[in-house]
Amino acid sequence: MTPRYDEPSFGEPPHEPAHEHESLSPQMVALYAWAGERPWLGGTVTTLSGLAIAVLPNKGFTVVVLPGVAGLSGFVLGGLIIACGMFMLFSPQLHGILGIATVLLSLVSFVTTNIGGYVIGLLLGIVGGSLGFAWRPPDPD
Amino acid sequence: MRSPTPPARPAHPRGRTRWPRFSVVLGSSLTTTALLAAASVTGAIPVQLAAVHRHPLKLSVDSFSAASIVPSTGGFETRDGQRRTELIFHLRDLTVRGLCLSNRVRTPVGSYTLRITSPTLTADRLTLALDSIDSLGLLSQQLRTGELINLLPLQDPPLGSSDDPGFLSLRVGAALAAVTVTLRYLSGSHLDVGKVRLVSGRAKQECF
Repeated sequence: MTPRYDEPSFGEPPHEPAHEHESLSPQMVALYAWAGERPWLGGTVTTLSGLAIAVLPNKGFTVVVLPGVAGLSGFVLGGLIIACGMFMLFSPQLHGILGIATVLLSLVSFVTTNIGGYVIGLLLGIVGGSLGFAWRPPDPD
Repeated sequence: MRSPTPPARPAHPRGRTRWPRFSVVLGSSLTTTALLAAASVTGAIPVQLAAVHRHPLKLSVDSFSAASIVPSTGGFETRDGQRRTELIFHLRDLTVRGLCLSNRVRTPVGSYTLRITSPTLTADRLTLALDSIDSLGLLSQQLRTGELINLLPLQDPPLGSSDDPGFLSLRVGAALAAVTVTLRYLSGSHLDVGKVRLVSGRAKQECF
């Protein structure tokens, strides 16, 4: 009889971790497992994109008065993109819609927020959104 | 007799990236970005810009008009905690012709000049905040300089020339007006800049 895939057999560990992760601490193994269940790269790049769009045009800004529409839109769009990145990390089932939303917000930032945070935030947003959209959840089996 | 060892199963199931789908989204997004860039450079679509740094800029225009120029005052705090007053101008329906903007940057390998010229610039709204006005000459009939001078709430205006960091030199039209100000920030919406020409290099001339 062929043993079932998920049955332990002959005293071997059930999930073959004999060589995998054996040199990692339990915290790193947990982090590795956590990251594998979500589009961590897309979420991280998207969050960095939002930070770039929000912060770069306002570098050195000591706030008492906001600098008009363009400065304000940087905070708004940057905040929205950061939120998309966070949702990618903590609600990975929404990765498709969040990826497309990130790409669209990044494109909008081109005309509303200092050429998308001096292009840096724009490009990061496009890459992060594309990664989030193209991510595939792990197989349930 | 032992049964064959079952196939190795990963310790943790991991998601994957579908690279063809990634390429499609990335390619279309970059194409759209390129189109947006081309449209903004040619003036087909307006953009919004804001700058907060102090810049050593020289600016000259052939003509300047605005539907309204509303001054107001504001406050800001410097990095060292000093609170200062600034004069803010809100301009509406701005039209500038013959725009030339240059910036000379000193680097360890020499001074580099960046010069931007555009025959026409329009904006629905433009806001600029001045830390101080250091010298003011004759502008044009559209800009009423007397009101600006009377409203100055500035403290300790620094002395210097347009080559010093943080000063904006402005010359308008044939009247040869010259303004040297410390510009703190600039913000515009629905900026429409037509036929921008950008040159940079060590031997490039500034606007004036």
